[in-house]
Amino acid sequence: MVAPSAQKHWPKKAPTQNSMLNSIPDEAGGVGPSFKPRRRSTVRQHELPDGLLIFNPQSLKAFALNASASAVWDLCDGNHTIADIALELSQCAGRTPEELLPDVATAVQKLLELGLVEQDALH
Amino acid sequence: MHCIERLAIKNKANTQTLHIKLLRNAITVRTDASEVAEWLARSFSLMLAQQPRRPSFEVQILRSTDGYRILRDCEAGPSAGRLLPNLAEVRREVAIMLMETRPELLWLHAGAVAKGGAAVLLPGPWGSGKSSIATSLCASGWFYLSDDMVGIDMEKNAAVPFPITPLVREPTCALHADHWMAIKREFRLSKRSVCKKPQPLAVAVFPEYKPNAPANLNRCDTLAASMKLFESCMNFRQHGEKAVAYIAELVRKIPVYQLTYSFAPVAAAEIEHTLEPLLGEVSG
Repeated sequence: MVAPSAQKHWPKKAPTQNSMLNSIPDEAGGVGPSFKPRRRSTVRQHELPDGLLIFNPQSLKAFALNASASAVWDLCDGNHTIADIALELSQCAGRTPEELLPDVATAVQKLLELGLVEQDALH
Repeated sequence: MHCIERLAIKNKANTQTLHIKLLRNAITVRTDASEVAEWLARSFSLMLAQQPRRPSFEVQILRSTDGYRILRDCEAGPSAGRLLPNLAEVRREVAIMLMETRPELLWLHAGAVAKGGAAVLLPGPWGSGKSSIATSLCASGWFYLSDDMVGIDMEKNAAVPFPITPLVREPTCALHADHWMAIKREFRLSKRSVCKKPQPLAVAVFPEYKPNAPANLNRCDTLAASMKLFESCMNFRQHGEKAVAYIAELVRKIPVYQLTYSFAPVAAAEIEHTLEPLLGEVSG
């Protein structure tokens, strides 16, 4: 489920032609379009009017996700690939999936580095 | 010297003893340095107490060639304890020890004042002007809780009084002066202007000192407010998820403001004008 506020917060850009959804390759140490992120079960989240507060009990660190990052976070359920997330968000963001893909990949990479998501075990 | 200070300082064979109380807990400080005893008696004048039956800590502060050595309870030996370079650090260390007597509270690096039975929290880093704002509000009839660290009772959503004597910066002094002791003065508070009981939190204001800026008090978004509160937490690791849940609930429940200012009395007047009606709603 995409956060309702994502529509107004996701930055809009004019669509570009000839871009491929799978233009970002899967890389060792990075995330590619087929990467399936899953929120770690130990991570706790709290909803705020303008985003989400996320707490990682392992690192004892808290993070604030704005509406755009929250929209990505909501779709990190182990079922959606990064390409799927970009596709789903594009339906409410007024941008093409190809345009959104790098931003989504960057967001997921960051969530991965912070230990908030992991790769789906079945992937 | 104030009568309550005489009550609490006992000179015995060059060792002076103070008992400092926070709610029902107390620490006993013994020192061989008269300047330490006097400085702590002034700093904690509103928290001095009779000898407790069982103090939470016993602390020794000994004068050394490089400053002051602070030892807890049974620590002993020439290299035991911590070396503190100056009286300002001694004050801070004793304040932190008092804080540690109440680990169940969520401690914030914040000032706090109250009016009409409701508290305004002033979280902020060093130099943001917590003390100047708090004392300016107290000068116009508000009640003092703390100027630098506040314990929050998360169950009751209340700020616990920690009435250490405020140190305020002279308005003409540069913020980044090397010797902050030289540019700060003690602000004497009467006992009547100090809250004795925890006060429910009604508003949070994040002060930010900006040279030459007019006083501006604006609503702040909840996400930014929650991150600022996390940054202010002094014992976050002790509470973890409970603190996160509390802060998320707090910023949803109470109004949060960002204050930019350059002259504390004007900023205090702005706070009073904007927030007094809100405090009335809480206490009513």
